[in-house]
Amino acid sequence: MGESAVTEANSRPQAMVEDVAFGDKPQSFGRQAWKRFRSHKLAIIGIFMFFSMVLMFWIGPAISSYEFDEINIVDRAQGPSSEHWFGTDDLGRDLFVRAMRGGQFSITISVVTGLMAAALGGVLGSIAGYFSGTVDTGVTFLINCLLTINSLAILLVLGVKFQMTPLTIAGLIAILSWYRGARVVRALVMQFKEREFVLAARAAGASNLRIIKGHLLPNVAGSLLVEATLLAGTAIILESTLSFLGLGVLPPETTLGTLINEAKGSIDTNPTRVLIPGGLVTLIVLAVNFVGDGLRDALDPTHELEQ
Amino acid sequence: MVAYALRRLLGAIPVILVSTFVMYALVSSINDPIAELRQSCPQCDSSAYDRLNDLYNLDQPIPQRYLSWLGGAVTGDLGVSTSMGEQEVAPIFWDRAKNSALLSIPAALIVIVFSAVLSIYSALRQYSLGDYAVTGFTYLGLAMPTFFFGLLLQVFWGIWFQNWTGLKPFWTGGLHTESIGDLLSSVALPITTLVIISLAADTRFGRAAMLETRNADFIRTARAKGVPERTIVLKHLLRAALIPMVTVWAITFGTLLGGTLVTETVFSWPGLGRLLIFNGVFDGDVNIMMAVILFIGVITVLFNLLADLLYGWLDPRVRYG
Repeated sequence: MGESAVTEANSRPQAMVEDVAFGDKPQSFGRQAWKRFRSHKLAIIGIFMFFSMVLMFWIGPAISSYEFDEINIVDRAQGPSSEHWFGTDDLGRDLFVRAMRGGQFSITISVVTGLMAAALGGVLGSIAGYFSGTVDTGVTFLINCLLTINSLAILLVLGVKFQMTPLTIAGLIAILSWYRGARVVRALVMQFKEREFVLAARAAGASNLRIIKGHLLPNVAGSLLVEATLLAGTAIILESTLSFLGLGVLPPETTLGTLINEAKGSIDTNPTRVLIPGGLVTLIVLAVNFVGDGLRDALDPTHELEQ
Repeated sequence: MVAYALRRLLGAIPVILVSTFVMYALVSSINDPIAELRQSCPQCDSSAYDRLNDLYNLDQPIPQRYLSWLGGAVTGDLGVSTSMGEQEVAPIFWDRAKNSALLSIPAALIVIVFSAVLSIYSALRQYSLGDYAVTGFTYLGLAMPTFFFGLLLQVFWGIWFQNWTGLKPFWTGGLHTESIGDLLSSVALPITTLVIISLAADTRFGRAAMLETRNADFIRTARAKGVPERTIVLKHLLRAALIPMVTVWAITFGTLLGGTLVTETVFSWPGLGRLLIFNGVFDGDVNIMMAVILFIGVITVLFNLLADLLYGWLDPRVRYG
């Protein structure tokens, strides 16, 4: 979708125009970006939501007197109570602690996937954009191949045969989705490499590696960060779908998708068992997307909408 | 433009070949019918193994197997199923594809109409209550996993609504074709699920495209010349802003045709997604899996190409290189 360029720059005029008077102290790009991010209400709400969930997921199990894999048949399949805040599952395990445990995985997977996909996409995209020719053809071909492959199908095929850990799931999703960041970075690097500051660096004798590292990557880092954030949200949904289909991590370990999968049989008697983990997944993705939008407006005021 | 389309199509062929080969190698090295037979039937003699080898060419290396599968697939022969009593895959595939199309084609059409309406409304009344509602819906639709939304619909219509009113207007699972009414009430909830998820993405894009166009210079010029607001919206704004939206719709159409995996699983729909997940992945049926994977790949490539062609056709500024 390289050709469909719709800039959102004009749609949020209040965030774009800086009120800088002529005599004001000049501000760096970073300071201006931070100002834009701070004034983006949703982004601040997103940050707040994300970190309160991180706190809850990691502190919650510590203040609860139950373990996530502690089986207690006498108390099985209960609704929420003061003893078991989210109720218990069919083996009497405390669902509050299990939901917190699942939340930890969702957060971990989103952060790890975002970082790995950004690293892969950043390196391959900038190499492809910088050294056109054979390298570019190769990377573009890889990107096109990944586009035609359904990520969920591959994850299912692998998940049925191999036991996954959160890290392998995150790694696989990153390998299947780095191409989105790579497309953005490649297009930007192709624009930037013809600009005067790059030509000047080359004229001064800078090596290719130095030009990419010192001059091109800093210019595309913002867009890549935005792309990584949006990818982190997709990764959470993909992982929870995988475990919803019963192909996630090895029991008694759990994720939010696994909790929904286990609870969907008793959905008519105890719908909260589905609503709580499903709501948590939605909230995490919502928070991540809010932050992504804020970062986009702050770092990349003239960004192009990518499908 | 015809030359460009042909060149793109030719360029897509190696992409399809490589990605299907990778998938073929992956699924056939993971699924080994011989090993399964050895486990499930230790007393079987060599004739059983010979039969398996005959049926699926298991004595050949994977690249050779891939080539004979590909030769068959090109001529419409998708091989024989291992999990469904050695039936031909092709008739099963087309049968299921029809059921999937029953969901995906109406869903795609609804998404196109609604995303156009919502994004026009939202952009014309920016920062109004309605605009905030639309934006809030797009955020929620993008954040909610498909299966969760499907489950919510099932709980609401299958349990809560029935408890309140004693009525159950929709089927919450399966395809029922006894009457037109049954058919409509069994497609309603899965189509809603598909629509919500795609609608959120397309409306978000459409709103941004409309806003961008609304603030463009030629709109200001038209307004300055005293063109009536109605004409500005219909003749200037829509015609320009719909161009990027049309390309997004083409991609949505492709995604929906190939990607109803999760929705079909939640609603026990006998379509391609269930065929892929249950018969293909869970039962380890290579030919079934490959049929659906090939279909998804081809559809994705074709609709991406369609999107690019439409863009160039609608927008004379775009030149194909």
